[in-house]
This record gives sequence, C-alpha cells and structure tokens, in this order.
Amino acid sequence: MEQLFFEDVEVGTEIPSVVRKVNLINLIKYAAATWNLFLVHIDKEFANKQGFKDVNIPASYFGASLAKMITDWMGNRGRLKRLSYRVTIMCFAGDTLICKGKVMKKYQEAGYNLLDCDIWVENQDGVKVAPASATVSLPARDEMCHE
Amino acid sequence: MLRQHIYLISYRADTETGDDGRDLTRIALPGFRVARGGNEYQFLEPVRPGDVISRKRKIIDVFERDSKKVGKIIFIVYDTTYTNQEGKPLGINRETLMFFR
Repeated sequence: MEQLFFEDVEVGTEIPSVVRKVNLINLIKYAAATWNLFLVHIDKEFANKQGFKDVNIPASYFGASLAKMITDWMGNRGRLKRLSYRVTIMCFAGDTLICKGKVMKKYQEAGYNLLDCDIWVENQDGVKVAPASATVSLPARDEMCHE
Repeated sequence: MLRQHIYLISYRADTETGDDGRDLTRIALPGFRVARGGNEYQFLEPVRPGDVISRKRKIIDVFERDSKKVGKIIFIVYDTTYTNQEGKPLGINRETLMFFR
C-alpha cells in the first residue's frame, strides 16, 4: 500500500470509493467476526417477527466500511483519529453500500497534520443512507517517523 | 515491524447473549425494538498485542422524539471509554441507541 503524505492532499481531494454488496452470507460473516449475534441481522424469521422485511445491516457495518475506505487511502503511517456516522435509512440484505468522501479542511494542531473529511454511504439507488465525518492524521514527506 | 491497528467497533467474545442473540451487557429496554442511531469514535492510542483492555460506560443523555414511521422513539446516548493496563485511554465511543415499539 502506497503511503499518502500530507503534501499530496488538498481541500476537495476525493477519497477512493469502497463498494460493498451486502447479502446474508456477508452479514453472517460479519456477525461472527464482530461477535454480534443479534438475530435481527442474520435470521430472516426473527427480523420478520420484529416487523422488518428482511435481516437489516447493523449500524457498525457502515462504520466499518467507512473506516476501511479511509484506512485503505491513508496508508500505514496514517492514523484515523475520529470517526462519526449516523444511519438515517435502514438497509437490508441485498442492498449495496457505496462509501464516498472528500477532504474539507487541512490543518495542523498539536504537532499533527490533520484532515477533516466529509464522508457518507449511499445505497444502490444513489440515496444517502449514512452521513458521516472523519479526522485523519498523515505524515509529512520529510518526517522520519510519525505517530 | 508489523503494526496492529484495531478499531474498537466490536464486543467481547465471552459475554452471554439473550434469546434474541443480543449481548446481555448492552443497554436494553424490554418490550421495545432497538436500532443503533450512530457512533462517534475517538481513536486516541493504537492497541498493541498483549494489551489488557478495560471499558467503562456512562449514560450521557436520554430523550424522546416523535417519528412518522414508528411513533415515539426513546434515544439513549452513552459513552464507552476503553483504557489499557496502564490506565491510558485508548478510545472513546459515543453511541446512540433508539428504542421504539
């Protein structure tokens, strides 16, 4: 993975998108990986009894997908400092989640090179289902070591 | 050197679950359906292999809102702070849960 440096990013720089088609198998794998066995995400009968049309995608899945988009982009020496998101439209097995984002602010604070990013998740119809934001720190090209 | 960055978005493997599969240590309101509204994570320090992580929860806010789809929703906002064996804060998760009939 190529390292992204603070000098290579500007306000308006777009973050490479991450696309996730989510089906029941993905949700079962995710439930096992995160030790979250809440049946509404993996058992259709339970989800129907709860009044949902199908198993729904847990909110943390949106956060994890957004985190992947950012950490894929920022390189090993980048640091995700802050991530916040809200799921405003519930999504279900069979939906596709598209994570997108761009840099809104570039600044330095307490010795860190920081980027505030506007990020979000859209579904297969282009509807925004989860508005979000993140703060990332990046190394500068002339730094030996960045923490 | 392999660096481990573990983003704290999940739960412990050994906690008990209720009949609905939900972790019994999570905040619950019997008789209500639940969905997560969102999260605000602060990642303060990297987590390293060998770390022993403790967590502490604090309820920040409880309020009600009306919605067209499901009627009244009860919101519970709470902070979970994760610290390591030196008492160093590793991360903070501010989470919103929504309870509705």
